[in-house]
Amino acid sequence: MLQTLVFGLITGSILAIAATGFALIRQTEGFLNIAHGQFLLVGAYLGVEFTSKLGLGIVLAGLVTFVCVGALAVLCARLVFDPVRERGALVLLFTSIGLAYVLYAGSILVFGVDILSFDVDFGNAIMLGSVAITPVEIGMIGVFVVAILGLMLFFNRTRLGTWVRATASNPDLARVRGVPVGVVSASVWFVAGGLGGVAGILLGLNSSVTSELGWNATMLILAATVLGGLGRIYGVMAAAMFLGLVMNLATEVIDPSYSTLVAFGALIIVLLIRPEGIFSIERRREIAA
Amino acid sequence: MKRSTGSRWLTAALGLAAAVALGACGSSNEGSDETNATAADSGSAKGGQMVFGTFTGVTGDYAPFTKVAMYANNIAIADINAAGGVLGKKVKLSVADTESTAEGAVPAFSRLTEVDKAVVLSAGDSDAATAVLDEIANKQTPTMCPYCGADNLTPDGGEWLYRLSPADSQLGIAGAQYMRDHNIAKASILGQKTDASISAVETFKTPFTGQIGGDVCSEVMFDPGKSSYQAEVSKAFGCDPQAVYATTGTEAGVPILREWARRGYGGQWVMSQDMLTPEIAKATPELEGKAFAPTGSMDRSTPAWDDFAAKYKEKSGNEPSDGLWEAASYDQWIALALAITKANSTDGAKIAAAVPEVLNAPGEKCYSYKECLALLEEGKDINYHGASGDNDLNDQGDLASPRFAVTELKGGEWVSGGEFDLDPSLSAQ
Repeated sequence: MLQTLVFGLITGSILAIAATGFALIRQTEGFLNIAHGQFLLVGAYLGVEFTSKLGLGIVLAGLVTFVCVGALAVLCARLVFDPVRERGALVLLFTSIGLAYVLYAGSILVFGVDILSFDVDFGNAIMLGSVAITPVEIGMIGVFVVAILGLMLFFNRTRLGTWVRATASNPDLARVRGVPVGVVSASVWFVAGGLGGVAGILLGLNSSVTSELGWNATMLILAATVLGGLGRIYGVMAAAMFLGLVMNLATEVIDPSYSTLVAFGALIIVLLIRPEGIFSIERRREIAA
Repeated sequence: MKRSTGSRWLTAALGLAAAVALGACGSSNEGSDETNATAADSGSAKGGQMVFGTFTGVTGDYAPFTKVAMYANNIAIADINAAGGVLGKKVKLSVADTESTAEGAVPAFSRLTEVDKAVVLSAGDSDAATAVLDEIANKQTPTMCPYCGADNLTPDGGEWLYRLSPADSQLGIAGAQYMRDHNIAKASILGQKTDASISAVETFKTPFTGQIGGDVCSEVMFDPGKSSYQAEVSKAFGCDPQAVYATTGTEAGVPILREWARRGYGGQWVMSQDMLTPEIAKATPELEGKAFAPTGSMDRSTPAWDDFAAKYKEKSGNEPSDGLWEAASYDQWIALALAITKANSTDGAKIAAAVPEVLNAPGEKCYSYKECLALLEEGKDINYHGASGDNDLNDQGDLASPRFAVTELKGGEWVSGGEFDLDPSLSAQ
């Protein structure tokens, strides 16, 4: 059971990093970016390239991938989303689906369809009582912790973070108050894309890299985002961790092939009780009012 | 009543989840487009050309098989055309991607038969073949399957489907026999929930727990495409088995075996042939001496093998193997081309009737398309002995006498060991 709990923490950490970027875009740009899953795919492929062909260490490869996929996300925002921004969230949403297919096909064109894996030594498993965990797995959970702390510091201790919160809360007012909305938008896309790229590497490390990696992750990212309360970044992180734990712990009592079903079953139940998501502050605001 | 912004977004998000799910399925079209490029290289059914078609997993689990099979396919088509083609027409090969899924096989099959007008077909795997069995019969399209194992194909394949590899029931017996011969009495099962893997698991369990009296201490079946298989591997090894019987594809196989290696579960693997891919060998060198796969094997004693192996090495840079069925991929097109010639027609029923005639005795043995074609043109009966073996078929379109060997990882490559015969006492039930 404890071992499975650790597996859940690892899965949840990866999912949380992936979903955080998605939630950032939702919160500040105001739409669901379905192409986010393909940022994971691009990140995973780049990670394999950087480690296997350029010989970079996994940490350095992760940092370079963060920058590359972050830049790709900014480029996509400027070239694809900005021209249709005035047409509303639904147009942006369906544009993102189109972009997802473009990135998917582009990845296949560039990287091929081979099933790849990271040539990274996870190190010998460390025994903590009955629990075995490798250094790289500890690192995966560590990346999640760093991401949380980094975002907290970013939002609360930096001017840019304040601008992001202001823009997310009321973009028109932020603009009137002199917030450089363009800079905020580019920054958010960069961070969101970068987190997606890193999540892709972590997924690839934990599993393998296939052309379907992005699509497979998208459903879980959407689930975590809805469960956490659309746009609530910390809520989405918590929901992702919850899903990771549920999917793994469920295998203790049921056929593993139904573990994803259990996670989505939990999602449906939660939404029936709290349609705005577990961690949405909307309900709390309504109650407070 | 005014709906909250959250509710609107929730509705959109849930609707979108469905759209994404559909999108993932729809990506088979993308995949097909991808393979269309390959197909376009080979041409289409125009200008007095004859089209052969293959629906196979260019992407997904079976991509490693397709990748090597395409070398063999192209060598076969080149050999056929070098000998003058079929019925005076050059042959072109059209490829449609199934994404290694049953649902992807249906549009791929339709494209080949309705758009490309393929005369004969090859199915890339059991799931693909099973998905379109009815359509194969409806359209009376003779179809070869070089490495299909699913048992249902024997009764359901009818007169239109032939396979050049052992059935899963035979491979399952081979797996159980291997365990018996190596004193493995306690095993667990780790398999993915696809038709081919389920078939392999069932046919392993029956003799292992029946005639052999072995104990399956844990049976873990999982859906492919997961982000992690840690819990599944833990559960499979949780009952301390002597060996794990594993049947899955490369996509799930790589993370599963890497998880086994990094966490040091020990024991050994008895694997299905679907796992004998270069990707798995490369990702998990720890399998050396720990993984064994009783699988079908090729007859390396004939000029047909020598000729094919030399051409394959030249094209791919590698030796053909047992586990990836390159030689059978080659043989299927030669057999179909000879059957069309024998039938002197592109009518499906006539070709289907001619397939066993060119593969089975009696008839003069021949080892290449050119040699066999010359005999046919002289009005003689032939018995094509291909690169993979004699390929004699039984009444149900399966191999009459499949060959078996144990494949294991040596020096980073899958290497076939000694051949063995199936124990008839295990086959009896």
